[in-house]
Amino acid sequence: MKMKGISTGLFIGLLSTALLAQPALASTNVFIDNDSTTYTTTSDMVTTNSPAFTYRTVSSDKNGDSRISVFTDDKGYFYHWEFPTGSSIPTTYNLSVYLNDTSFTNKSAQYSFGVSTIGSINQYSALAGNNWIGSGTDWDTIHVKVESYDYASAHPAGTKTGADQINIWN
Amino acid sequence: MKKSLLSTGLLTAFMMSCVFVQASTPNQTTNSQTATLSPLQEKMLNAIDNYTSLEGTYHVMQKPINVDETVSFSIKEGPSAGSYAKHVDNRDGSIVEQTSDSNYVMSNNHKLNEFRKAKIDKSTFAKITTPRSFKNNKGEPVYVYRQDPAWATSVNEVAFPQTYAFWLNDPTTYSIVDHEQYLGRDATVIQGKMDPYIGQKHDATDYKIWVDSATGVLLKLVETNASGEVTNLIEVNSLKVDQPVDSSKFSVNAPAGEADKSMKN
Repeated sequence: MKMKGISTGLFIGLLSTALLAQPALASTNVFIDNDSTTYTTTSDMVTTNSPAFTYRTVSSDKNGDSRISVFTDDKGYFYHWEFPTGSSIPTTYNLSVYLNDTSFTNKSAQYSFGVSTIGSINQYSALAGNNWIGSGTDWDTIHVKVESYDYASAHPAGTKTGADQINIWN
Repeated sequence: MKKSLLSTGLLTAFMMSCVFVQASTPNQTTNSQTATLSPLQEKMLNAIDNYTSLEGTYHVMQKPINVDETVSFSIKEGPSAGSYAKHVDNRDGSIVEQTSDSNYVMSNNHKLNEFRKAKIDKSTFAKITTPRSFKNNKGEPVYVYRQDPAWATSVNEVAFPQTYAFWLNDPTTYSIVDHEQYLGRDATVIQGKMDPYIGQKHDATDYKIWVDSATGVLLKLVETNASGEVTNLIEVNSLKVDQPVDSSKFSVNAPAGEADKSMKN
């Protein structure tokens, strides 16, 4: 009788647990990361497979940073990276950018997944560290784009943007 | 007896559920080093919850990045949220406008005679209920930003000053020195020492900030360097809170005669 009472309670409790909102899956982060601000070319980018995503980073013997645009079809206005997810199901992904360099001064760095903007951050005044910007929905391939200059200012040209590291996870 | 055994089981299962529902992704979250935020920080981090509309003008000068602008803005929160901002460069008179109807955001650069328009992903609007500042399992600081449905991003430094709220994370670096009347509103006045990373970027060692006590809106920010020179300044010159605004300003219709530089698929 005693055991039955406990078992019933546990069963109800566990069933309730299963019905609660589940935490974000501990998926592997996708990121571009390096520690130098020296600009380099797309030929320096390497692709590394991780369990869930393929991510791109600059090869270890080259200097570079995440301000490299992998694609050249954005007329120089945007930095653009693509991450194949291997999934055709629309999924919400979170985005954070790691700032650690005083050259990141874009007051209104606007990040987008595809052509939908998901968030903006004042990189001129944001503290060094991981800055969670927002979330967006994408599927087969996550297209991360950030405007290459501070368009919200009356003087857009030449303001540094991008970040040292970009993290995406779901 | 039966009831008490059932309760024990439920309690046990609930405690187990607490372990499983903690939001955690590799390298991103930890529950052991969450920053304790002050009431003023909470107000600044959620300023958009503290007004239904905001209109005003301010002057911003940031010497290290050659910014000297007069900005006027109009924001409406809640249903039919939207925003309008006009940035006038005080040196050459060039103008950039940003508008949003909460579905799209459009920037018009009149000097370059071009505009850009982007759809807004609304999954980013949810109010954040998890810690806003903590350290991840690498010991790196994490700052969680919330996005505004009115998408007044170009004037967030005044209307939604989350960035400056995070400057106040370390209470040993600043003190509340006064309460003043500023534009007829009670302002909390803070003096502090610049974070070294920001200080290097801003060419500043000290700052003084006036925050609207009721809403968390930034009213004034003065940053000075070691020589006492003002290197960065944000100064609100007019402010209307919770007054009717003209929503027709929030139109995101593409302007005639300007080149479309929007992102393409």
